[in-house]
Amino acid sequence: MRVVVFVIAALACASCAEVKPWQRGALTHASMEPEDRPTTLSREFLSHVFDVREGSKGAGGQAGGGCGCN
Amino acid sequence: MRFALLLVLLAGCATAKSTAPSVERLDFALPNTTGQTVSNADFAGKVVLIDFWATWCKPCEASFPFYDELAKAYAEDGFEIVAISVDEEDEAVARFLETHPVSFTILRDPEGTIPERLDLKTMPTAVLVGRDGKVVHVHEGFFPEDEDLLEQKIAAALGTTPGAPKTP
Repeated sequence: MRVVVFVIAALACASCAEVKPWQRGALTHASMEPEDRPTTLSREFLSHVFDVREGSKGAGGQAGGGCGCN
Repeated sequence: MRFALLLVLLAGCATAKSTAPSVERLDFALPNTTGQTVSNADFAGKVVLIDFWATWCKPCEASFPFYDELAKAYAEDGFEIVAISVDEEDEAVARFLETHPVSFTILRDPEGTIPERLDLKTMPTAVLVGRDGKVVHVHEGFFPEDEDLLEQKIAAALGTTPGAPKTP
């Protein structure tokens, strides 16, 4: 049982890929902005979808433009 | 036991806290925007602020007017700013510099070799190097309220008094 738990946890950790601070240019591309997509969904809902997909929340209102700077 | 195992796993998955890179010297040899190689040896005997930036980084953009003022204000004291862009595309840098003209040196490191070596934690990061080539200060991020501290560090390294104009 412990081995199974360990393997599952290890696999879950391995699925995370670190994006270095100087590699975040792609994350700030216009196509990553919810507002640029032709949709009737609200920004709040799209933000929620983004939070769930990325497993993180917040830092959306800063002037950093999504680059995670500062 | 399971609880302990979970704690160990969570600790292993946790991201390390951001800390400023610890570096004594910062050697580089990189191309400028016209392709000519510029190295730290070209600034021997000067106080140099080496800034890692990118066109997509808003705080980097905000820092440029202040850095340009600093570069001009302390040029006669032997101060230089070297801004190393980590953008992947040269065109993006050229477009940015058309709308944000600066007097200081712009270098290119699209592969991020120097940031990788330093293991930078934040964009932008500025490394202040003294006349003897040794790093005297590492400044992570950029906020308007950082300007006084940065200028004090630069003035101290130059052995002069702070007095450059501030951004409005």
